[in-house]
This record gives sequence, C-alpha cells and structure tokens, in this order.
Amino acid sequence: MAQLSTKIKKYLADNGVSSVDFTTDVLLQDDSNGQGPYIKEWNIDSVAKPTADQLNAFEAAATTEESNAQVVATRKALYGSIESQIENIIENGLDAEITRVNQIKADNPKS
Amino acid sequence: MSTIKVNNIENRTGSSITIGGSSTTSLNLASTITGGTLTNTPAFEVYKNSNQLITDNTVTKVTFDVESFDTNSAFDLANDRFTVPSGYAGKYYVYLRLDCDTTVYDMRKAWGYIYLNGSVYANNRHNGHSTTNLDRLGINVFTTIDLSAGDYVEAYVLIDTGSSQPQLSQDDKSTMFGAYRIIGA
Repeated sequence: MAQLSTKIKKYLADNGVSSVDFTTDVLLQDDSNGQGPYIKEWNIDSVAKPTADQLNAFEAAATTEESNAQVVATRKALYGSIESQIENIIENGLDAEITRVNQIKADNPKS
Repeated sequence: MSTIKVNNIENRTGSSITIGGSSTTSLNLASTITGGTLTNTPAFEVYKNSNQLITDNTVTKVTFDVESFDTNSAFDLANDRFTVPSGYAGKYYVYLRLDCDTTVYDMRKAWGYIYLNGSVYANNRHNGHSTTNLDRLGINVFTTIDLSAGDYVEAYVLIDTGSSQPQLSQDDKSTMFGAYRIIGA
C-alpha cells in the first residue's frame, strides 16, 4: 500500500500543484495507535482537502512511483561515486562504463 | 519565628514525615546546602529496544519499549506518555533523543517534537537539501515545561526520505525519552 504522502503528492500534481511541504502545507500525523496516518492540517487554499476515495484513486500510481524511486536509489548505490566512475572511464574507457551502467539499469528495471 | 535545633528527625513506626501544612506556600533550605538526598522526582527515562518503522513525511508518535526508571509509575508504555501525577505540578526538564535512520542513504529531513497535551510544545529540526542523502541522523530536543497534574508529554518524529522506508533505530539507547521535576524552579 502506498504511503499517504505519496498519494497526496499525486493528488496535488493532478490539481496543478507541483510541490508540497509536509511541514507547512500539509501536516500528516500518526499517533501510533493502529489507526494509521491521517491529515492533521491542510493549508493549501487552492486545492480542496482530498477525501479518502480521492486519495485511493492514486493508489496504483503512487505505488508505482514509490517502486521506481526505490529502483533509482538502488541504481545510484550500484553506480558508485562520481570519483569511482571517472576512474573506471580513465582506466577502462567510456564504453566500459556505459556497458556497466546499462547492465545495472537492465538488472533494475522501472515499472 | 522559632528555631528547633536537633541532630536527627525520624519518623514514628508506621508513619511518614510531613513538613508544612495546607497553608504552606514555600519551604526554604539554607543556601549553604550543597548536597544531600533531595530528589528530582517524579522522574522517568524510557528507551526503544526495537526499531520503529515511520511513514514518510508523517509526524509519528514515538513508541518505547523499556523503562530505565519511573519513580512514580507515571509513564504509561501502553500509550507512550508521561502524565504528571496528582500533587506533582511544577517545572520539569524534558529530554528526547531520536536515532533517525534510512536504508538507502536518502534522508532529506528529520524533525523531533516534544508534545504537551496533544500539541507541539518544542521541536528541533534538521533540514537537508532535496538532494541530500543522509543515512542516519541524531536529533535531540530538550526543554523545560511548567506542568500541572494531569498534563501529559509525548515524543513525535518526522522523517522525509527520497524513497526508502524511514525508521527510528535503537542501538545503545540511541532513541530515548525522559523527564524530571526540577527542585526549586
């Protein structure tokens, strides 16, 4: 199940708001009582606070985004530092680095 | 004003000692006193011994597992809050340490909060850039609060990551919460 913050980002993007600050624009809270996270404050005047159904409509898209973000993070870790990539290019040539990066991408495809 | 000079005061068997009555408004100790057995109580300290998964970008109540001490049984591990016992209003020093952690080096932001009666009373924050890739970050929050009997304090945390599931970790009491009443404040 996608996180509430991701579904809210999707909902806002669908309504023309491209960024959100979860410490000022929208405050989410989880009281660790088994009820899960909820919207504590909604401070975006241009877009109405979403209903549960409106948020659930973005469940699949949000899940895909989170999955892809995880893939990107995995790829970044496997790419290594910029220094190590430059070293590989100098020692083995650009084609070797391109081959290595493409293999990492192939091994870790996005949804 | 009268002065009683004695070397020792002891309770009678089966009873306690009370100094002051219902109209007593202050009790002064000599300024020359530098030691003794005065205690800053009520006092408690709790910590985690298991990691707590946190929903990204969500102010989440911190849960605790173990009490190091709890002099007045005023911290409730069932709902993770300290409630001031009857008769113990006063100024308290409250401290919170949070071990904010990620799995793929993508933490952007971590805020810690001390809540009083369900609302933010104090916080401390680390705001990284949107491309900041922190792995683990310690956040400390401490404050003094004038508390009345029945008031309660809790700990909350917010962690913003790029994609990974944030968590509070617990190595060597790295996430802990405590408070004690300040004598004379």
